[in-house]
Amino acid sequence: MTLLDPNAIWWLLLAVPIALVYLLRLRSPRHEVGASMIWRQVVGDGSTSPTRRRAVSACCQLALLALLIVALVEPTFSERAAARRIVLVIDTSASMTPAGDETDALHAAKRRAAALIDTLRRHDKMAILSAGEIVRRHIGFSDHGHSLHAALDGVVLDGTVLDDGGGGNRVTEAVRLARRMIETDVIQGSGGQIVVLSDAAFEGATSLAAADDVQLISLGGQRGNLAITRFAVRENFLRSGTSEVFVEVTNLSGEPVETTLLIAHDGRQEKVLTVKVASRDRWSETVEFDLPEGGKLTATLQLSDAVTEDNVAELMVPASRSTRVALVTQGKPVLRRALEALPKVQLTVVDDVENVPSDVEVTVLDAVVPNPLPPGPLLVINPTGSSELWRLAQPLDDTTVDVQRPADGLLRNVRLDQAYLSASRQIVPLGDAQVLAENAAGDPLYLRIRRPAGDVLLLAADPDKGDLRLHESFPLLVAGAIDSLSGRTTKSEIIVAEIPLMDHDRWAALDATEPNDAQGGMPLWPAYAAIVLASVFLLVEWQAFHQRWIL
Amino acid sequence: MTTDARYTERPLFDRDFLARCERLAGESRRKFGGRVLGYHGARQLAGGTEVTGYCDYAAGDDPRYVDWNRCARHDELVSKQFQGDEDLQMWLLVDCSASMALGGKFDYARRLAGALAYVGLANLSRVGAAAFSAGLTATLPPQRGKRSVRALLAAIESMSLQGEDTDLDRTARQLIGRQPRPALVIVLSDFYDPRGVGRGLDVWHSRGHHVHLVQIFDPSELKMNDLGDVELSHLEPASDQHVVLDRKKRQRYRELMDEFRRTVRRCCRERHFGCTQITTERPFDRQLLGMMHAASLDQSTPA
Repeated sequence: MTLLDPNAIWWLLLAVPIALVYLLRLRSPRHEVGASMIWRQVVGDGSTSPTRRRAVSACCQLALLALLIVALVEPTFSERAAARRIVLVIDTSASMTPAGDETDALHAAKRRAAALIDTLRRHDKMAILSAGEIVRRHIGFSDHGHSLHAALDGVVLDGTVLDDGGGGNRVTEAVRLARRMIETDVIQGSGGQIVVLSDAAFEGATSLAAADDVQLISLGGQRGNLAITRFAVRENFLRSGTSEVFVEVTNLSGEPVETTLLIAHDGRQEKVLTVKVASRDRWSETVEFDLPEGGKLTATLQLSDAVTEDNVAELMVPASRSTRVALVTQGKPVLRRALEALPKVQLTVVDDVENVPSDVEVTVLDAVVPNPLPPGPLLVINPTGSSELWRLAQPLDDTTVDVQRPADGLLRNVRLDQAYLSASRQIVPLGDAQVLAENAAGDPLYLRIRRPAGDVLLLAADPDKGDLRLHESFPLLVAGAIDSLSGRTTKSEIIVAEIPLMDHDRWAALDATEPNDAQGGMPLWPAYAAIVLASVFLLVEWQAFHQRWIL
Repeated sequence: MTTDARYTERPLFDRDFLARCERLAGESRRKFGGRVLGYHGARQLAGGTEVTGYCDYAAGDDPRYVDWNRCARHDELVSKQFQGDEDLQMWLLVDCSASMALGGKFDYARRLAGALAYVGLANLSRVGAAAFSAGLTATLPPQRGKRSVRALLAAIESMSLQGEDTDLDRTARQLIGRQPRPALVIVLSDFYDPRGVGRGLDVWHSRGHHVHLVQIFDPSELKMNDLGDVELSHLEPASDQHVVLDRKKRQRYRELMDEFRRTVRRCCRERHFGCTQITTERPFDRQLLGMMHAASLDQSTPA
């Protein structure tokens, strides 16, 4: 059996006053009365001896005290619990002493470490490391309290810069060293534990806190956390070739914050933004970047707070390139203008398929169906004849879009519901086809036919007639079709940087005062038995002296 | 058991006491016409020259007052009763039983007896004093005149606790042997007599004595505030008893004490005797003045 807190045995001294009170009360107060003739009628002739009652009472009190002390000394029969190896890692970087006095985080860490030393059990051993600019081992595994305290006194500030990832902190390295120390020193069946005392203002604090063998005790008071919570980029539809970068910063602290946000492109600082955000509020800004070649965008908050991981956000922007498109048309204006309006589209307009340049990526056939169809991706608008992929049947009675099926971004942001298309003929695909829009009778109005030489998108409507020419969705439909056929990722997709959001609640949960107890599954029946015993003793004590208690 | 040491550390009847007694005597003459507790010596039975009646002979009667002619004619012993102006004869009986050792009851009783003796002598009465417990232990025959004050006070001061139980019946029988003629008997006691006070009062009542009981209590006897484990030290009879006192028992004790006091008052009222129940908290001179005032009211009130 091992006493986890042997110092509590000093509570046994409480038995001394209990015994003194017992001895002092052995002699009852003496009261002179004139004659016994009245008192005999009140209490009779018998005399009650208080000695046995007081002895029982004193025994009950001592038994209660014994139970209390047993609870305080925390006896354990677990050998595993009796052989812990604890490594204290104290952050000695410059951020631990912002105040420079007794209230700073380093002093708090040393006080907490001293308390941990005092709670060492009989077979426990502890080592102390400090992590500043370098990792120092102040004392190896030892169970000698005075030596540990002396080593703790030698822990001083060991950093000249704040923990911004710039090298002023080596907590992660210290933890690695602590793990090696535990591996080499730990005995069979015992447990090793690393306790990090830090302000958590270093890279990797989150992962350290999540590790099973590390307990991160956050110090330094309620430090705020400013986080980049959204970082996104999209094409600028107003200015071709440029991109819009959206950044959002959330203040998770209790105080308003003013700082700067740097946005770098491939390591070059491009923008400096001033961030002013109130407590528990968000700040956002959209800035324009010229990113024709794409690259890596990095947003960095210029401050040191409780969580440094969310002060930096990065995202990759793909390179922007133009798509060469050939439009074979007889002069229909609506489709041509829609194609010309698309950014990064190099449009070539020809009147015959024979004149289509060989280097085009997408060919748009407007009311033209050559036989055979040209190779490569095709967008066929208002087909006027059959081909090897489809056959034109009778004219359609109903050309109103009833069902719309988005697929692969083809119809992103496009709403053709109840749009009346121009008079058209029924299209019967000769092979497998994906219907993207159909009328109420199920006849396809917009469909995709896959072929080895390139996909074909078929729209059975004349854009110069019907609702389509006036519909705002038509340019988006054309843009989606060109993007899909050219294999280019749509630039309208928002890329959101996934930033972990951490606040003080989570850090409070990580904070704990004591290392985890390794007792494990200790049975509860001794505790229940002790409670029952204490209740019995209290009951006996009540019975023994209730007459005095109810005065 | 005697606890004299507690009561003789300072003179019982010092100069201040005498001064208070002198003021009391003056008050008695001015306000109450020289009466002591409402009584005076005028027209007392026996001691005069005019035969007013006869009564059965009792042991202790003066043989000179036996009507021998009647004895010869009717073969019965009767004593002749006379009436005439006679000085009041007053006996002061001070309880010296063990229970009087509680608190300051014994000293208080002696001071009160001394004051009564002073006032009585000042009003030309004949005053005797006696100590009693299980019976009369020391007596000083009735004295007359202020010159006897010193002797009476000395006799009262010399009384000591006897450590015996109270026996009022025996005391009364012994007293009438020494005082066959009716007199005013003032008994100062706590009256813790297991046999009760009725029989003793009957003895005095049968002989025409007028009795005034002064029942003296220590304040702790009436209040009894202790609770819990208490070791009771009974003074009369001497014994120790360990008890656990709770509120219920304490209330029972107070009720019994009230009943005891009511019994004493009832016994006196049935025999037209006077009764005063006091505690030792009040100064003796004020207490005595109050007693005289109450007695004068009783005398003036028709029965």
